[in-house]
Amino acid sequence: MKEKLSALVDNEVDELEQRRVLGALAEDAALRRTWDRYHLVRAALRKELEFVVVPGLAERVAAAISMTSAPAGSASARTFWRRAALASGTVAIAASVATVAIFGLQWMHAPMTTHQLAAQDKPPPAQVARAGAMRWNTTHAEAENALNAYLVEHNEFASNSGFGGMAPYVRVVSYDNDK
Amino acid sequence: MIFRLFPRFVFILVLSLSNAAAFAADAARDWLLKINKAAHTLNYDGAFVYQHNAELEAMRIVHRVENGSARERLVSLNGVAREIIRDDKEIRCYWPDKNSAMVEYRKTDDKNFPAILPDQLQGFDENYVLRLGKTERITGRTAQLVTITPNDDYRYGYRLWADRDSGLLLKAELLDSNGTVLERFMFTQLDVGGKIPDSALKPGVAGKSLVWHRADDKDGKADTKQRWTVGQLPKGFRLSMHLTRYVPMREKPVEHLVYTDGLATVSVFIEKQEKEARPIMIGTRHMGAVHAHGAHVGDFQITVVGEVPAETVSMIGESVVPMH
Repeated sequence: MKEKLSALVDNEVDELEQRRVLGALAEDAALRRTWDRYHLVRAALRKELEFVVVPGLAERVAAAISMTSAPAGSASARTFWRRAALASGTVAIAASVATVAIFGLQWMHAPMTTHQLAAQDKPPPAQVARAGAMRWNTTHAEAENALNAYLVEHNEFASNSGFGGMAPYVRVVSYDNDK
Repeated sequence: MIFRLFPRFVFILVLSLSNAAAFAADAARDWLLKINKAAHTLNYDGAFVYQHNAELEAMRIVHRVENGSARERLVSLNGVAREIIRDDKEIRCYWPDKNSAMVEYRKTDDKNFPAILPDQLQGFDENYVLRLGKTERITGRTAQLVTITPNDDYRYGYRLWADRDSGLLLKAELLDSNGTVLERFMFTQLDVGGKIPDSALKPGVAGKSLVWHRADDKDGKADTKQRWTVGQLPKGFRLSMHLTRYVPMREKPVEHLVYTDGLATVSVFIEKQEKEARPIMIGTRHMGAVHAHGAHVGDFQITVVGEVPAETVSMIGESVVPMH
């Protein structure tokens, strides 16, 4: 089942299989925790985890991972995270989670949304962290979040520009995560 | 920023149509009009680089005008393919790295602005000096240089290179009061006037996999009473607009005041917080040349954002007061 769960995380199962796995998920609390972990691991590997981390989470994740051992991907394991998990083992996974913690990023709850239009038939693939990335010179996630939302609002009035009105938004799509 | 050039040149265009003789002699001004008009009315598809501090980024912009309405797509070519697609009604931001997307409905369009034109124009002349430079070769095309120099330290200056044939902006620099380049943008490849297929304006990420945040479309209308004002404005800035809006992901009504000096624009956001909540932000922050300043008045968080120097946002941010 874990193998299938892992495939589901990567969106690699057909609809019938998906329904079966989701059914099993609904009934099995342990399986649900595994599901959460897989998502966390995948996000960490893809460096999507720039939010997180409650104190001790890295340790807990590391401990949990070492007990889980990544699903034994067969030779047909295609996706990045399963390959990476096999290749580098759990140490690397724990390390990447720890790295996230070291970068001093704070735990953030997913913002409340009035309309979550994500597909209803499967859980959202990962938690929503923030509107933009860490691009302002602040380490306070809430301030960052607010500033990004405000910047988009502000741009509407600064956008009758010589660059087609799109130009102010260059800043919004620009700036790397580690800025 | 560089790209936020001439927010009000639409107005100048309108005015100059009615008063053409007064401006005909001003070649630099004509070039600004031409730049603005080209950006809004032409089809183009190009790749450009954007430099800020030591960073260099590549992006693609696609702009199509069809039946009088424009649709634009801006996508990052490096790293995460964040993108924004904009039309007359809404702005869609895609952040595949965050599995999220945001939709903001536009509260205004260019047509709403000309009512305040005369003030804007006057402000521009008080605060900036316009000059025509020489012609240079940029992106394989002949370009006309136009410089905009601020009269004081409360705003940035610009150097603009426009395509002599089409008027499109080919290169631009944003400068501080010492003349240091803060940001720079330049097309590396550009097609002008071609046919733009629908596919070039579609998002590269599947929207279904994202969590969507939508602004409520009701804002900007329900309650537009102005409750706050700025006590001390840097010289040359005037109020151009105020509205109440629901910012996506903020989930609260926010009063939004817009100030302009004819070129630069500063937004002031006033948001009520829970009693004794921690301020979201206090003091000045920046993202490249964009500065923001946070202050706290009573239970209200004040946030000022603009492509202006730090002194400008801090002066404004520290003097926001309730209206009487």
